[in-house]
Amino acid sequence: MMKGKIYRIFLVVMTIMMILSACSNSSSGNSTSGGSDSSESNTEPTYGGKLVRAAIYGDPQNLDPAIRAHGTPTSMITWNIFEPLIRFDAVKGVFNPANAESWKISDDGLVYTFKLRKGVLFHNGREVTAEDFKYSLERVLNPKTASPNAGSLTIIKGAQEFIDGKSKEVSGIKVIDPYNLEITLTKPDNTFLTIMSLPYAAAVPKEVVEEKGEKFGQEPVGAGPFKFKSWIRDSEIVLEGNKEYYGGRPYLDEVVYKIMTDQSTRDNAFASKQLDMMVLGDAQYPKYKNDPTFKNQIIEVPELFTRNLKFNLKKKGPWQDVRVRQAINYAIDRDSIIKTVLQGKAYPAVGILPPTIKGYNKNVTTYKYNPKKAKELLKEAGYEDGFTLKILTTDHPAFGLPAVEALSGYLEKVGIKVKIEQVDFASLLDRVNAGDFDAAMYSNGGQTHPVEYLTRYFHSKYFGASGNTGYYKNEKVDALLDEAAQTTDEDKMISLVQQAEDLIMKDAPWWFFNYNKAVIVHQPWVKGLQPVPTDIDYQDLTKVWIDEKMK
Amino acid sequence: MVGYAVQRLLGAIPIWIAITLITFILMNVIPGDPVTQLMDARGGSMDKKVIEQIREEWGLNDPLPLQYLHFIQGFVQGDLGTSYQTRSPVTDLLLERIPVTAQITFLGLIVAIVFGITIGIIGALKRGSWLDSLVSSFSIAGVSLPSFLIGLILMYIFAVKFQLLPASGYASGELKFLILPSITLGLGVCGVIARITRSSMIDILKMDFMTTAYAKGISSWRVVLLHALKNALPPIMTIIGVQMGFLLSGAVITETIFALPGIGRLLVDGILQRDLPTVQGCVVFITSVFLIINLITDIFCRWIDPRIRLDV
Repeated sequence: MMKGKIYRIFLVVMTIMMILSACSNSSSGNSTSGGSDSSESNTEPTYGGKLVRAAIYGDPQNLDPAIRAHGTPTSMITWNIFEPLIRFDAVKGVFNPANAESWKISDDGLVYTFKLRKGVLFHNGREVTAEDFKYSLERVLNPKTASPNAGSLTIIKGAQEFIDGKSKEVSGIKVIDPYNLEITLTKPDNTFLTIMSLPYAAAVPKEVVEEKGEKFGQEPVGAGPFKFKSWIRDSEIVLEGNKEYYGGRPYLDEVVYKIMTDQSTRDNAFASKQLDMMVLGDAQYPKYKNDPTFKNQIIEVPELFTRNLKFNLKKKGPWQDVRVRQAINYAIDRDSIIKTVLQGKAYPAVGILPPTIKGYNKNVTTYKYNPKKAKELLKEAGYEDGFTLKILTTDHPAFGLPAVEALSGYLEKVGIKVKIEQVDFASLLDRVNAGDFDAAMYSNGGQTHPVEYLTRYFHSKYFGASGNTGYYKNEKVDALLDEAAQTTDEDKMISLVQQAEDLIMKDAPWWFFNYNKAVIVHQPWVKGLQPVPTDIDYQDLTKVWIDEKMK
Repeated sequence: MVGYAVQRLLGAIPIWIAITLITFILMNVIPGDPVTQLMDARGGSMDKKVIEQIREEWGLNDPLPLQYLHFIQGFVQGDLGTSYQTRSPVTDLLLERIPVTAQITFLGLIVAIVFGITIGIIGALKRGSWLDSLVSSFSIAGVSLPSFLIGLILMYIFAVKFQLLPASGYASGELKFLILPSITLGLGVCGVIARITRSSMIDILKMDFMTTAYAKGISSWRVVLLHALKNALPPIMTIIGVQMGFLLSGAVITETIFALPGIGRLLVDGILQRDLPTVQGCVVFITSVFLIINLITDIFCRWIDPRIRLDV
């Protein structure tokens, strides 16, 4: 009797829910077919409009470019607020004039002269001059600022003396006149232009910094295409179009960064049209990729990150033998792991340099899946009976536990037993930087210059926490990279880089796993997004516009 | 009563010290360096020299006991230090986020109390009926379903399907952003309240004075609300006090799902980024809330039932 009643109520509730969901389904079906009607859409960019995008890595904490390390969570925002001397178009691979309208490099590659544009205004209305750049660069170097970016500016002459307190100003930064800035380096360095294009090398207005003190990072003022408007911590950051921008008013009137770290939260927000665009997390990818609705709303690009299993060459172990490292590279079927475990959201790492960076070499020495060869190499090295390899990892979906579990299956087939140690990301960073590991799954990259990309992780001058955490050393590689950094001939630079990469591949200090496949999904009315390989979150928002007719 | 409250709060000083000390030790024992956390989590790198300079600047090279003493010194003066990640005073960070957490906890509590007590009373009055079974299964579902699941289901129905409420986010002063999170939070707790209300009410309803009340001809809803519920309240109040803890911890998950800028997320981010001053600030805040709520619950119970004596 009682059960019967409950059952009836249950049935009624279920029926109601089914009817309701059927109704809403048909309405959403209508709206999609309306949206795909391209005859109504604008082809010419229109002004006005608001872009709501997801900030998936959490709150940027501080928007002072000197305070935070250059990286996605902050730079995806600060690059719009601040105006560097030059900007790097990562899609075309060229430097474009920005606050500097032109620049000259001396024949010896030591002296960079930037000619500043006239009439570039900070958001408080004051004109930007060479003096501001001198102040801003010295501010990054000043130990009182505690800037994580200080290290990369030490290539400027006199910077180290300034840091050590031996001089009051950096001798290598000279203000010739308000519109001419001269920077001298300690030695020629091809990566310097890249550094000058980053947000921390942009000018900050001294009077505002001094007035706001620690609050500057909470209410930043720059000279970029967008002005800071408001910030609700851990929730959203709003920028507004800078109508006085020297490059012309941006199409967008407003950009909102919604801070959403949870993938399901973002899915729901996107589905309810609260979000206009978002970068997809690894678990979200298949859902959008396999849905034909999003066919024209997905942008993919191989990002400049190389995921790897690095061996600690400072520690004793079988991996000291190059044949063992090569064997491990032969033993694992990376293509299968990417297809099955990562569901295709990565590109196989054939070499170190991803296809979207200058100097990419598709004919580089590489390792194809070949367990037989792996066994032979292990036998040659005297590890016919195998050994145990301890792998340090996190739960990261693309270069963490799932991948390690998959690769350990392959390694066991050639006799290598794997012991997995899983930690959180902060611990991984700490232990890898301290050299406290045998082998570790990691992601390296983000550098836009091939010399910088290789030097950071394979040059012996960057041993340990500075980048070369595996303590790989090959004098030939060091020499090739040093030469590549100093040459002014680009073809020569690329040839040197490729030689260095080939040598490193032969030494196999890593197991080369994958390059991240960065994916953006956007609503049909968002126009002007690009497959930016440095980081797909670094969109040039001055080119983005909203087609209101498609809404 | 005031003297009692002051005494209770003073007695809590050792608790504050113990908890901040434990937090300090734990944060220093776990691996992970706050300075390297400044790097890009996707694969940046920093020069060793720079790392050293920043450690020096932040006083991280001082001996640990000295670092803790510095914290206590500031704490006594109402200064919780400066966050490593934001470089803002921790008190500012807390003040920004307290309203959010306070609002969803408070609204969640109201949802829990209203739903919990109502269905508890229904269960007690209609004991053994199908309504009672329905109510019981509802409260069991509330307790056992994880709040992230409830949250996602609500989000799907109200934001994605019917687009009545925003799926997530926050704007100060706008209630619509807080409705789904509060219900999510409240539903998790209301089951427990409902069960306690039901059993407590059943005990009271059996008592002789209830029969007397009915016999006097008082309308039945007055009997239930004024006579039965009032006497059944003390255990319910106690459980509500205890559940406040659950609400605060539930707020961490709810805030993440609904992208709300509250204390919970501040704490979790602080721990992941090894931002000790922020973590200490949150811990001090949460501890204080616990202590104060326990105190209020005790005082309230005594007000309801004067037989309860307040002992220090």
